[in-house]
Amino acid sequence: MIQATDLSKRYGTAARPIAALDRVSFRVAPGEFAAVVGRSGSGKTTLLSLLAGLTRPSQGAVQLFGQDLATLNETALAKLRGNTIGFIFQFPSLLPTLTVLANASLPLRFAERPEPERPGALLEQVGLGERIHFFPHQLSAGESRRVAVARALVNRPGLILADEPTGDLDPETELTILNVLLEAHQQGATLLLATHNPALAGRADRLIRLESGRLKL
Amino acid sequence: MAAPPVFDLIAAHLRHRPVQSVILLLAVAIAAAAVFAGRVLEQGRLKALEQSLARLGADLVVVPRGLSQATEQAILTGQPATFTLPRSVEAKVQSIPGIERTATQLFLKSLTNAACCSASNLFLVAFDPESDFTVRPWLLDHPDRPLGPDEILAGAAMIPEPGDTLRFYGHTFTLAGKLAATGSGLDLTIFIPREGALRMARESAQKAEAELKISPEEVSAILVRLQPEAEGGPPAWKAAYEIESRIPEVSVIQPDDLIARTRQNLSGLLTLLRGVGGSAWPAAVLLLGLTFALAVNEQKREIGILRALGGRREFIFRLVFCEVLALAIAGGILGLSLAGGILLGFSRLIAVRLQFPWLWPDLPALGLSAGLGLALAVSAGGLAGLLPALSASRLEPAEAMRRGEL
Repeated sequence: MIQATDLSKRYGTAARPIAALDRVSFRVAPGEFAAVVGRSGSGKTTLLSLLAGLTRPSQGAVQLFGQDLATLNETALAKLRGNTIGFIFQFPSLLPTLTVLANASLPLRFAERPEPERPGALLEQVGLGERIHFFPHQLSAGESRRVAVARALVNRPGLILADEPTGDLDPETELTILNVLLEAHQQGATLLLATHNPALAGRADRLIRLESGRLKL
Repeated sequence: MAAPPVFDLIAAHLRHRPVQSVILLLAVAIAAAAVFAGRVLEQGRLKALEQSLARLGADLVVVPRGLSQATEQAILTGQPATFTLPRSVEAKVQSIPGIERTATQLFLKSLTNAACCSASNLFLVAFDPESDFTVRPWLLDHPDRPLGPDEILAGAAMIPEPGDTLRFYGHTFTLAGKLAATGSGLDLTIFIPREGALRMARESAQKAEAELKISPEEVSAILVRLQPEAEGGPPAWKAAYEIESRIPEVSVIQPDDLIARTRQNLSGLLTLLRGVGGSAWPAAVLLLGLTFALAVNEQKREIGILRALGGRREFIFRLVFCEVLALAIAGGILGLSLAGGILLGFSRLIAVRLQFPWLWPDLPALGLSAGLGLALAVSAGGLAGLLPALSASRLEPAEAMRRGEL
């Protein structure tokens, strides 16, 4: 499913590079639930971005579903993301000009087998059935995060990459989100979740620990 | 896979930023309106000018030396012009080889706010129905009989209808017919047979508040028709040169030259509209381009999210480019509608105020002007949208989201 080999990402200039990730290698099996843990700035977000093909590594390789991402052009990468990856961002990621329903439906535009009824059903499942016509500015942080979770699951992705999906949320919302993600995982999706919440990480099959951009064994 | 739709996203985005959208819309609308209105006014003016001079029916117009400009103004706008030549000059003109026929007109008076006609200015002209070849051919309904001395003809802009009676200088005339519209001063002209005009002048001392003094031995202009060149007639310029050489007291107007000169001499408004149209286009391109470049910068995170959700580069390009284009098209249509509405309501007033003849251009010419206005708006949008759309589509998703957070 996921094979990261000697993965590095450096920002900054060639003269003064900043290593966000340094020669990280690991493997996640299909259907596995793995948690990436580490303190803020340890490289969790960079790792998830590399795995989703949102940025290119400075060094190393990522294989997803048997495909080396380095061999895919931008169009093929976009297709892969649209059809097989559900991404939950760390920051508020709803488009402010669209309603809750329109935001949750966004991935359907890019999917090859869209299910028009699914966004509504998922919003119902995360408890936002009454708020589908609200705009993001009318939602609380927890509600926005639940919309983002529903959006990530709309295309029935084989791989869910969740970056701090419950950060700064109340325990009730945290539980709702976790349950939805676990349900998707039970239905066969591979789940890779970045968190610094020990309780959440404890639910994973295994942990991938990062410290200052390096894998800590 | 079919390309994902973008128009609902664009509509949502435009609704979300109403002030910005309206400002951009107006910028494009002004450019399109200026180009459209400028072209329509110019084309209408040329059409009216050509029609007026065709109506004149003369190859040359002979007037007193130095008064050709005043005559042109009188012909085109109905501005006051009363001057005379000895009638004997007509015989001298007729004696020049290549002249087929001549007809004389005597400019009697410009009347302001005449009680008869609801026109702010009207122009009284005496003509000779026997030799006339320029006025009667343009009657809308040709009477099958010669005009009586008290029967007059009126330009198209006059309110009275054939059969109505009109009084000038205390003399009553009957309107025998109306002439086809030209959009020029000819539409505000009353043509009175010379015999009736002389009688009116004689009676004016007793019947009118102010006496009209005219001499039977004077004319204001001699309209000249040349023999066709195919039949050995001279070209207009040569005949004009010949007349001015042999008769020093006259100047000769060549209607074809008048058209050419008038084409070059734009009125102030047309110059302004051309200037606005010319400068509004680059201004609209600049404004749209800068605004959308800033908008792309502000929306990096949203762009990154769309890419992360599976949006391709082409999708992002279309999203930004179509938004600029949609604004430009809507602005163009708005500009054309506004300019069309203003022209529809006030074109005549504009022409009168600016003192140039004007008629609505033909439909194809109108369509072309509208098409040009719209093309200008679309090209402004296309050009302005290209760079922001390209830069947005080339953003790397993670980088876009990271910079969007800053």
